[in-house]
Amino acid sequence: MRVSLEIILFCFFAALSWASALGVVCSKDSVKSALSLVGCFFCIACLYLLQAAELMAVLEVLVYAGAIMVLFVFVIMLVEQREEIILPQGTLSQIGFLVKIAAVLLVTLNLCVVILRNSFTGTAAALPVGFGGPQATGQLFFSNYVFHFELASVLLVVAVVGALVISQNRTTDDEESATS
Amino acid sequence: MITPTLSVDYYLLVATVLFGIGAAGVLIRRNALVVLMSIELMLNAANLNLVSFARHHGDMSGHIYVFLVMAVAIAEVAVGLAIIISVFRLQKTVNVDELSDLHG
Repeated sequence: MRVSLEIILFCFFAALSWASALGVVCSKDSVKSALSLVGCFFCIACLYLLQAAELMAVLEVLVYAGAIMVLFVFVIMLVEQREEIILPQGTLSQIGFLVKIAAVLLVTLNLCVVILRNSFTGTAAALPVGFGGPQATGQLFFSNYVFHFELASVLLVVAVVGALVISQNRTTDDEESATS
Repeated sequence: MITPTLSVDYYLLVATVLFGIGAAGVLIRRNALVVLMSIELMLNAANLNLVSFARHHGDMSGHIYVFLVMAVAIAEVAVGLAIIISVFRLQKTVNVDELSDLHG
């Protein structure tokens, strides 16, 4: 009973994540792309839950569907956009379009065949107690991976300062320096 | 706790297709915002692989790397969106084909 439920949930969220990923790439309106991306992140969080990664599922929803998508929607509102023509018009760009699609399809199908040939079936390890929970993650972070943790915090500080410096309005600075 | 019934292969297939869709988005879309979103899709596909293998081996190190990839993704989005906004102030467009001022 539980087995069939897991398979049903997996198929549902896998299909939904593919559909919403296609929605991100194929919709002309970037607001619709952003909403599809939120749906895709939610499906991926559910796939994490199916693999006993509870903390990562929560972080996926909080960080991606919460913080990152708010940033995206803000910028979509700030930046006015024309309707984009996805399918190219000229013959040369149509050929380029088809070549790109064919290359991506070829690589993806190749990878799928490789995965199916070298199957990992039936060797999943038994889970230790507390796998995927916040306590086990925190203990790993502050024992084996403390350097990685500090490096991530430094990266985030540098990125925030860099984003502020890049996006500040330089024209007002120039006017102030010109008047003074 | 859910007993392991689905093998890691199926999750790898899901992640592979998601990565392919993201790569197609980066290649064919011309809107810089949608290109950034497609990059996020690709990063998430990699994260799904990391979580799958962590589950497969019963080792939580994969989760640590998922966390680090999330940190890198946030940094990338913050800086990328700042660049898009400042480029939009100068050029009034976010179409990557029209942003060719540094083109030699």
